[in-house]
Amino acid sequence: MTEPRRPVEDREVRAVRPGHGANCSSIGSVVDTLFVTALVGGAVFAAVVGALGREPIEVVGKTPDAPPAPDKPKDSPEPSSSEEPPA
Amino acid sequence: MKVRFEPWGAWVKLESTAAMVALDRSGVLALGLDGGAQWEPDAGPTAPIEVHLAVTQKCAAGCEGCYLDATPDGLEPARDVLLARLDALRDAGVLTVAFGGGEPTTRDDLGTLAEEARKRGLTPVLTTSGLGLSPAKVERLRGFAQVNVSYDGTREDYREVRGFDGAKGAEAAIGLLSRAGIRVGINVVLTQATFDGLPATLRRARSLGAAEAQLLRYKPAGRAATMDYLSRRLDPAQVTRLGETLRALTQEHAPTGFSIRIDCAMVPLLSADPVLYRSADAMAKAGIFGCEGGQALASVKVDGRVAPCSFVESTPLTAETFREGHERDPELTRWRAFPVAPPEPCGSCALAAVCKGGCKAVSRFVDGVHGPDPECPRVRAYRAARIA
Repeated sequence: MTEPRRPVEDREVRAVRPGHGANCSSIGSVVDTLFVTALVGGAVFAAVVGALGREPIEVVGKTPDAPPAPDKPKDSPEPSSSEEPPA
Repeated sequence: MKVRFEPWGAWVKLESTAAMVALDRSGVLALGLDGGAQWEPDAGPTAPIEVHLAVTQKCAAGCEGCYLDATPDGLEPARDVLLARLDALRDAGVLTVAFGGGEPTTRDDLGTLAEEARKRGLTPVLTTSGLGLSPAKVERLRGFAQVNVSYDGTREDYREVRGFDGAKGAEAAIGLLSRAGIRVGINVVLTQATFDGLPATLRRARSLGAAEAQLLRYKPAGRAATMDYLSRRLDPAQVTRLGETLRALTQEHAPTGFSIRIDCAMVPLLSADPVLYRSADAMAKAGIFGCEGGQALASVKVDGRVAPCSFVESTPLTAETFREGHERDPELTRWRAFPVAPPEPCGSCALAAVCKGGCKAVSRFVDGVHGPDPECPRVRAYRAARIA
């Protein structure tokens, strides 16, 4: 059941990863927003939330109706990265 | 924008702004979407959001610390083989593909590969030594969202890391790319000998037109997996100063639009900084990733085999079997399991959810086990206390 599209609220944003990163050996993360003023960090955040409201949507990867993996180990302790929220 | 469902919500890759956003389920519903089966409790792990794709093992530079042990006559997959790998990554839901090698610009079809990645909805980025980059070669790189040039500093610092002075060549490449209007960053490998030169390195790169610097921890892989590693890695005093160094660099450069990026292996080292150690929530909100091997990150090596990251051995999976096999592969499962219930001192660390235990390439080399990062200040203190 889907809802009509509405603006995303700040509290619904768990994380923002700015930039593309272009290193081919290890994954990188911008640290600017950890140290710069709240004003600059807020501007980045506002730009992102604005884009979320404007851009057309394309769903990639597993679709909502795709079944779970048939052979997923039941005794595995892993909830996986994906179940580890980034924030 | 591209939306990829995750058990906690979705990753969103924006098109108009270079950013990825993690939305919780409520935020995804706000977009008019519903995760459906992907939000059910038995949904399996999703694919990495970023994959490092080695497009050649050829490289004539001969860097002493090359993690791939690239050589002038290394393997080079045919274009069709790489296109099939790009197909597989697209089908798995990968969002960003970082082209690397070897030296990717030795391939005449690199521009075509970037275009093909774009056609598949993947964002291609590139790492190059920059050595020998000509204006004609630069034209072939326009399809990449960003190109990073390996640049560890001016003359002696560059030589210290790579064993030869390639600084001028790298600097020329940064300038060429910048003048061509291609977003260019630098990759800076930090060693004990080059750490103090970092401020000068970044100023120089920025003056040449670089827009970003990614700081990389020196890692014991490939040709760097020798005892020399122990004398080249950052020393404990430098690790202690890392937080204040990043703070100063950011305050100097961020107002100019020049960004500082750290690699996944640097995150555990930040635990030495008392302010950052109390900033786990802010770090998570800033999208900072620690060890994401086998999770948000994977590597496809030049032979097509998949590894949790570029610095460790491959699994039996290939790019083509990755989509169906990554949920069940025992090694990837082990990597994903580690941060769920990490041993001490990670278990009680305030940064554990972000850091995820630090660099496993380092723990495997130094300790011989897949465990807590032995160079993390908290791990060192914990072990010292147990000995005492």
